[in-house]
Amino acid sequence: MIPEIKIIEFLLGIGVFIFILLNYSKLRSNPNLKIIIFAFYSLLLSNVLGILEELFWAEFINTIQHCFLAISALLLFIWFYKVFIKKEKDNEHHKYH
Amino acid sequence: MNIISIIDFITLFIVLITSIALLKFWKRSFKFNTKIILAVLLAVNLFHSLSNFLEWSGITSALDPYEDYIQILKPLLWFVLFYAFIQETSERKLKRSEKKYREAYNRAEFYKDLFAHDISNILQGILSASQLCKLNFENLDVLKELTNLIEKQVLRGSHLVSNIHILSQLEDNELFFQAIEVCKILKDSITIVKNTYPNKNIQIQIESINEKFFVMADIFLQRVFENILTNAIIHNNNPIVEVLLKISKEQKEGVKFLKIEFIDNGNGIEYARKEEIFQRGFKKDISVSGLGLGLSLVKKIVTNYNGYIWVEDKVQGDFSKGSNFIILIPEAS
Repeated sequence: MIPEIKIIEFLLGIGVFIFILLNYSKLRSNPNLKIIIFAFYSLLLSNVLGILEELFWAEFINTIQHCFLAISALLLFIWFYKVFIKKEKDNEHHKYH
Repeated sequence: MNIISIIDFITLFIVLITSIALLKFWKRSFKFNTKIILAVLLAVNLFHSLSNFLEWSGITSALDPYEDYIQILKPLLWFVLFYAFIQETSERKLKRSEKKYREAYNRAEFYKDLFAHDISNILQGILSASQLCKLNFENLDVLKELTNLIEKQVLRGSHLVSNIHILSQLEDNELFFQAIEVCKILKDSITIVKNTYPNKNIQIQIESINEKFFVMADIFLQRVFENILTNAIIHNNNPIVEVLLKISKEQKEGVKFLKIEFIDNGNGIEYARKEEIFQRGFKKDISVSGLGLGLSLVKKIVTNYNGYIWVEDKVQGDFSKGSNFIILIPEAS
């Protein structure tokens, strides 16, 4: 039996996925957008794996699911670094050149 | 410790680092609302990964009952984050568009004022001269003087139209610079200026450490030199117009520049007007005239090259001895 909460989370995730697809042209000008979108996709994939683990190969899929959660966090950190830290460093560099 | 708890510990560590970095660099990038959403998303991630780690490492499952609510929040927060991105993009576009239209409006106003002010003055000069011609029809000397005056006014109008054309080109075109040999352009400018004023006794000397210098510039560089040299000749009451061109190298904020000095024996520029002469432009008062559109155009061209231009007294503290126009243009590597 798949827990309801996982299905709701998955459906909400699909809703956000569709929202991104429909509004991609508006989002495109944001810096390093692909990184943060992939961070979200990793999270969505971990949701899918969370459902699948209830059906088969529970232990193996659960490990993969946690891996994707880690990847999502890592991608969010990379995006954050590029947008908040590196960009400002570059700006400071350009001030002097 | 099993493998999942190690993965969860790594996740927890990454989220923690990201959260601390967000707090440290809070003032940078993005609007306040977006950063608040990002902070909440990180807090939720932090709670989720902490709960996972505590559960899978066998420490405690106390956070487990709250995890369900947190899990529901995650996609919703991502949605709000992407929505905030879209809002920021729209605001940025709106600001850009506002700026563009404000610039276009200022430009239209500038051209309107320019025609109302300068062209009107030129036409008035021609009209007065032609009326005087009618009154002095039989005096050939006066007639010659008046036709010279008309000629000068026509030339002034022609220069003005040419400068407006360059200005509009500078505004519309994308910037593309190439390595340009300075001495050759300087020599061409000197020849043109000397030919324009055949009745003046002009002595221009070049003092340079090298024969050839290359800078990153474009075809408008010659216009810069011509403008400064013309000003040195026009605003000069001495029987002999003397201009010394000094070329040297200078380093400023880590960038290598070529320094070109135009030292003249002209009327000089009062201290109060030293900055004003470069300022006549779209955002400035049209009444700031005198040396006219020329120097504001020169400043615009030089600034486009990422260069600098300013004016000093030839003799420090005594402007009446002449001026020293100094230009810095980035060297071509």
